[in-house]
Amino acid sequence: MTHRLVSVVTPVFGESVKYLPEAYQSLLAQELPDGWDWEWLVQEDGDGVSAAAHLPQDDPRIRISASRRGGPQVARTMAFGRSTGELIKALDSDDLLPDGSLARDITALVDHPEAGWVTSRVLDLLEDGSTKGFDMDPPAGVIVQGAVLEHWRTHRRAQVHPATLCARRELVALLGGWLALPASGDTGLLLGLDAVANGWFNAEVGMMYRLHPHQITRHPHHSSGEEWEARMQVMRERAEALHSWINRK
Amino acid sequence: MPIISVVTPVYEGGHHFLGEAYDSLRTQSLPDGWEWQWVVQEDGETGVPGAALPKDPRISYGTGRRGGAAMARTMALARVTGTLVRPLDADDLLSPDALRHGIDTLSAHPEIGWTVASAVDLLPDGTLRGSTIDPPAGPLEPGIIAAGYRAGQFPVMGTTVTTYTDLLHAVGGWPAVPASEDAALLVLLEAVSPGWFLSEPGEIYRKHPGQVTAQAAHWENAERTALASVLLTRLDALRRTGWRWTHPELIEASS
Repeated sequence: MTHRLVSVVTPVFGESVKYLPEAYQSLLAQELPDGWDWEWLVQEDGDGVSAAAHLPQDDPRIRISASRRGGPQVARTMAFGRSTGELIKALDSDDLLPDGSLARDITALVDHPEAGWVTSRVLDLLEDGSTKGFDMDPPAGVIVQGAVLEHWRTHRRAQVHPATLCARRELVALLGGWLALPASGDTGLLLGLDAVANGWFNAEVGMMYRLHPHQITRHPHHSSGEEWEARMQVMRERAEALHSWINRK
Repeated sequence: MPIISVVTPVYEGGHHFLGEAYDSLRTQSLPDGWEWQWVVQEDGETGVPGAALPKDPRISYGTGRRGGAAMARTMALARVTGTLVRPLDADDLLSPDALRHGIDTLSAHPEIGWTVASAVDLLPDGTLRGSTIDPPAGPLEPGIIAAGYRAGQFPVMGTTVTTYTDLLHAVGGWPAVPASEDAALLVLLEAVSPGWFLSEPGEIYRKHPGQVTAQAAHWENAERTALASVLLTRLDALRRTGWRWTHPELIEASS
């Protein structure tokens, strides 16, 4: 049987390193379709992260490296640069993959060759261990090319969660990975993917999204202010330039 | 009024030459009707470099969380109002007439997507040293930038580029990499549009101890390998799409 690979890409910085063992357990518990395997590219964002201290030494599927501090997008892009899988799956160090989620990502993209990427439903994982769902998910199935930008123009966010992205290597390569922004680089990548291909939405939970005090989305700049405005502007102009480029061909 | 936006990333402590950079900008002579805008983006949030800038309404200053020069340059794009963009590092200077040469060449050759220029080194003792390895002036041989990148001998200074803001957005700004993002951008521009080499110097490049390119990080090799992989697989993907970028106005004019 042909050996096929999904590359899981995880940037690690600061306090979030302590969540790596749980992320690893969630990865270990994944059962993949026949012939598929995963590799895990853990990328330390700067000095002193010591991811290896939190992970087993004897699992050759785990590949740790480091690059100078440049924020999560640089770390993800460097991890992508070391990856070899035909599918690229984002997993933040503080989040967890529910059982079966990687298999659902793979199956969606294998069964729907016209889809370039897949995202999934998310459950927030609260500090007391309880979970909370989101009641505005789109219907399961195709997300037509351009629909994410359309939604984003009105709501300044995507209708699906970019932290759950799994995309074909070819498209991630074409777009150059994540946008060089202090945050929201994954939304930037999602808007880029939306400009070039249809997507797919899996209605089953594909990620447990941990809410905790150290996460980047708690930063005051995350959802308002000058830096937020700048990030939104860069993402919008990029997506529009890409749409316009493709449509005038 | 057409505008060329000069984009400068800066961090606190690396801002001491901004006054000289400003002087090199202030004294540029532009083609009739053109104006410049200087978009200075702090890689950080101290505001210290901004406080050292002269009061000039053509200067736009922004801050953000630190993440390196590629991120600061890309964040600066949010405030760019020009149709053209030209980077300028915080410790370098524009050569006299650098902006005009870029604008004139792009105006005269609408099929060209970007220009690069010769550079002059400014040595610590104040002497200037011209480049000796420039490609011939005029249209750049297609593939020369990628070939130089692959060979480890980059043929031009990436920071001398002048290009369309739309093209820069279309390729996603500067790639999210820890270093060499200006060279990487040039490889991408070359992959989708023809370039032009200006033999007149476009930049005075300050050689001094402590500059980013003089630091040998212990992770340099791992970074370089990962960057090469990201960039070269992207080139392959772009080639398979066959995408060529053409200025939107050219399409409109010909339809």
